Amino acid sequence: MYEILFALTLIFGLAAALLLVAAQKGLSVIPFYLLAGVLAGVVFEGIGFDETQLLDLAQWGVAFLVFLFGIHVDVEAFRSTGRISVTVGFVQAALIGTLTVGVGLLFGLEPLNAAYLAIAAALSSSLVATSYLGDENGARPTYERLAESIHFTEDLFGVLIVLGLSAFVYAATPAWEQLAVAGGIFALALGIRYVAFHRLTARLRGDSEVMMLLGVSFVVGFIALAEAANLSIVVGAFAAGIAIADDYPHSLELVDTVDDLEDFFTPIFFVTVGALLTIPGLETLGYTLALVVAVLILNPLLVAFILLRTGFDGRTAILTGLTLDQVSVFSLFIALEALAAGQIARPVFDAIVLATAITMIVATYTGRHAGTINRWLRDRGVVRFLGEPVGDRTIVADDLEDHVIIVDFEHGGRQVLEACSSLDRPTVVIEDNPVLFEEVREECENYVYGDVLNETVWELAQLEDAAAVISLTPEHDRAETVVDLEADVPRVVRVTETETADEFLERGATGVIYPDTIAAERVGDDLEALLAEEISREAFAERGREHYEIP
Amino acid sequence: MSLGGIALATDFALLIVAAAVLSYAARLTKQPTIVAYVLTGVVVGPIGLGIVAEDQLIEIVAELGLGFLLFLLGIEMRFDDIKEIMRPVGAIAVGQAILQAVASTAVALLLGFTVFQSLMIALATTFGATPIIVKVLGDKDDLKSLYGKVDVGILIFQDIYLVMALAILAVGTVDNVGEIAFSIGRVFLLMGAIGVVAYLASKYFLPALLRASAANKSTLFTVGIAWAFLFIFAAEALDLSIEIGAFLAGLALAQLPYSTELKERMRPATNFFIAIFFASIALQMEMDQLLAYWQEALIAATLLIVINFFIVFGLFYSQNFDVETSFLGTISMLQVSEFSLVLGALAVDQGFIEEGILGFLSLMALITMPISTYYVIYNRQIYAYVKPILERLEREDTVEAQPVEYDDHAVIVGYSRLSGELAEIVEDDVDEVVFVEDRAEYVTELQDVEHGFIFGNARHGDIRQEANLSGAEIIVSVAQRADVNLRLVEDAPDTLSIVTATTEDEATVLLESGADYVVLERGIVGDELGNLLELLDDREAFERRLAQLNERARSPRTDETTESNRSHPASDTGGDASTTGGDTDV
Repeated sequence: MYEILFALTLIFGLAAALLLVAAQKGLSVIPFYLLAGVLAGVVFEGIGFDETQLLDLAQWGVAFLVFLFGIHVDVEAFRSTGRISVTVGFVQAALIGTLTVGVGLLFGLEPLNAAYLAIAAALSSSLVATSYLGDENGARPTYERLAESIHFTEDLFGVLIVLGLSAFVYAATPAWEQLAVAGGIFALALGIRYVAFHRLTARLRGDSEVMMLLGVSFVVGFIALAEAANLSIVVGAFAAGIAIADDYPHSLELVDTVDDLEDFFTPIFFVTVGALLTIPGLETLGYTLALVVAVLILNPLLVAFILLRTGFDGRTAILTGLTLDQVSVFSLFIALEALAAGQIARPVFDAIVLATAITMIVATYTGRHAGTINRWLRDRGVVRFLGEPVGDRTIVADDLEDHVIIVDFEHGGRQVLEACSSLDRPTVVIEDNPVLFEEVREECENYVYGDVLNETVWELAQLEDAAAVISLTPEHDRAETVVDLEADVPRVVRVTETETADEFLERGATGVIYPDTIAAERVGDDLEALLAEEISREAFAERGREHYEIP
Repeated sequence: MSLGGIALATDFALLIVAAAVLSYAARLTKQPTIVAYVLTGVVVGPIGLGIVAEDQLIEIVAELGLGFLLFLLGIEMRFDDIKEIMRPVGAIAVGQAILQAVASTAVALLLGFTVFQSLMIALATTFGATPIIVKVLGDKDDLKSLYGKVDVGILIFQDIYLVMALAILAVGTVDNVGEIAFSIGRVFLLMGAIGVVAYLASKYFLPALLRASAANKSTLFTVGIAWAFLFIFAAEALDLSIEIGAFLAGLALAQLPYSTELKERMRPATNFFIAIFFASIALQMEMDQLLAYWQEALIAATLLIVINFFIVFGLFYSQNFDVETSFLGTISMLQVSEFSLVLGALAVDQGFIEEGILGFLSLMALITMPISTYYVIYNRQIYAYVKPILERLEREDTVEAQPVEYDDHAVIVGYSRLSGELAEIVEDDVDEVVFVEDRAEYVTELQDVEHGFIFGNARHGDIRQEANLSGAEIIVSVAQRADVNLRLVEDAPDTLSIVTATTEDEATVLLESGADYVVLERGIVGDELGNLLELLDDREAFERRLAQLNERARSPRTDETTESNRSHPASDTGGDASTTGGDTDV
């Protein structure tokens, strides 16, 4: 008891101290957990504490991480960008994977260890649940949703790889039956989700304590099934997540509660992994270097290349690529399981953990400066070299004059389009999301698909003859480009804070649209009328409904 | 190293599944989950099916559960909440502790227990059960009523008593009186030392630490846990009980603005671990130990419910509460508490009592808790039945219910330009404006303005309760999560609600659930731009309108806008700063 308490105190103490640093600098937390693990490992070494005692608790961390990932599987959202991301994810993972296997074999690794290295290089995601869903934002740019979808695909690959490994590598005899069992477990999970889950929870009437226990026993139950079939706990936990529907009100009562519970176990997992590291030798460093190069440089470029081929513009392609420059959390699970099974060479394991820490830290920076990196790459001609399509999906009438150019169809552009058509004013829509292509083609007479950073796009949109440019994009660097356009045309851009409004107006924007202030004015007027008893509560509600059509 | 067997092989997993099934059943029968947990141990342990034995993981988790429970009790010690009824509550709590201890000792002696056993039983049975009182009264929305507040206040005092009892148990068995005195002295001295450290930390160190860690949701949680573990470990290293360390760690956090959010974030882990603790109690017990004193347990349960009724009712009455409050407040407290089991289990560990006594306490808990749940649920009906008898005790000048802290107020969930401006508009029409926000960058700003401020995420029930949504006049929410907005609207069906939505679909759901006004910025922006573009042919008008929009976007929130169509009362920045802190003027 004393030893475990000491270990837990040390783990959380170190993690808390390092997380404070991470929070101040706005960095990703996982590398700091791993670093805390390295420090804790030194102490454990010193006092002769066997960190494998923590593996029981650490495994709960894995279970909860994967469980939450399973819960967040959103079939509907996946459908819209699914096909593209599966293609991108698959091609990227296959190419990089093959390449790294080759490198591993060249290093003189046996095939299985080369494969572990390849998995770490190929899967470049950090569980969807922990990366993007956290800061849900109303107006999300194309690249973010695309990235989320690709991450999701690669996490699914992760589950499949774990499944394959436990069926064919860790099993005493390779067994196809296990795959069938896994299929059965997933079928059961889906059955529960669509048939039993809501009936089960309806009677609890929002008791989050029992809900939480229910969720945990789902995890336990499915993991038990998986273990009975000699499958990895990852498979069981994922199936348990599938069995739970992430809709209201369960999102509040069950999912959030399990989320809080997860926060207790994940640090234990990551810190334990960190504590298992040994002092890296030359061999480890070599593998680490190979992984870092593959993940930080090859992955983003390859993904950007594939996306450009699929019809995305250069900016979306590069920015999406830049979200994939880190080692996946799944690779850590796989490495840990391989270590437990005694199948992975120690230097390979160490390299994977090291590369995870390095790439995750770098990924925070590349994510933050993605816009700058994109510009830099464009200026160096990299985007053109990768082959940016312009004009492929573009229809603009030749004789346009006094038209309004609308940047970003989705975030309010649709309404502007409607207003213009009732005013008989011609419009050109500039959009970068191929997913919206069908819709844009149907609803817009003139449109240009491409990146606002690309001058050709503006030529195609006939900027010189336009009456106004309205930019509704929520992304700062795209709005900035519109502000900096060199043309004698009024430019109105959307901003989300006063400082940006000042900045853009000083730099030459004709006008700024600050949705919050416009909303505040409208709602404020209605509210004042209500409070002054000029209108009734019903009339107030009626006014609220005037701003949009209910579908 | 083995990674196998996280679930199937371990008893831990079975225990969880059994606890889930039984607590599900408990929920259906409106029973508190604690009863289900204790029964879980009985069912799967040696007494019942015998499929689960205590293993190391169960032991660790149970121990952590107890630590976390005490940590949360510490965090909940906010004396501000019971400030105005502190004196009568304190009197009742102290009187109850003494009188009930005497009564329990007498009953136990009468039933043939030894003096020492009787004292231990008395020590363990003087609590009211928090899970029943807080849960059932919460479900009935009675926690804010006078009797609910008094009961919760008494529970807070009982926490202190619990910690004292734990401290005494921590001494362990010693032989002679001199040693006992020395050991108790040592325990209290160390507790005092840790307490001083905790106090100094909460004064000088924790505010800055928590402010820094509030920047990230994982960080606040991890820092909180680390803080708890630091004290737990210190207590363990000093040979004190770890519960005392945990309690003091929580106490240090209690008076800080981040406490509710932290508490809510820790609650799931605590609930999970404490379920294991209560389930594990019966795991070491044999059938004959549980039933060793079953007749005594029946008699004692009946006698104590009757005697304690008169004791507590008398105490309430003596503190000038009216008859109804006294009655309702009293019958909520009539049961053996989960703390009895906590103390009993520790006493067994320390060798003070044998398993049979713990079995006796468990049986009493299992008998009184389920029954009391029903009389707490139907307390008003029962009161209506006995009212004719009690009416003659009615008198004048009883303690009045104080207004709850926030009432007829506006709740603003999330701080943004939109919600900030709307807050300015409503502030003259409501008693108070309360902001609910959990993003650290706004903490300083919101604490400084004259409005109420609750640090926390509205997804937590306690945060919503603290904001007293259903008592609010107006709710404005700019929370980004649609499900949170939905819950806010559902929690306060009669309150005027203005919430934001991102998509048309979300907006529709919110309207159907009863939101009065859904702000879909996308639609409003499109609308506004449509109006603007109409002016495009009239350059002058176009530029004038644009200039207005720019002006609005640039002017900081506090400035009065120069817009022509706004009729903002010029006086609203004036001096009604006195509406802070709940001094309501009704």
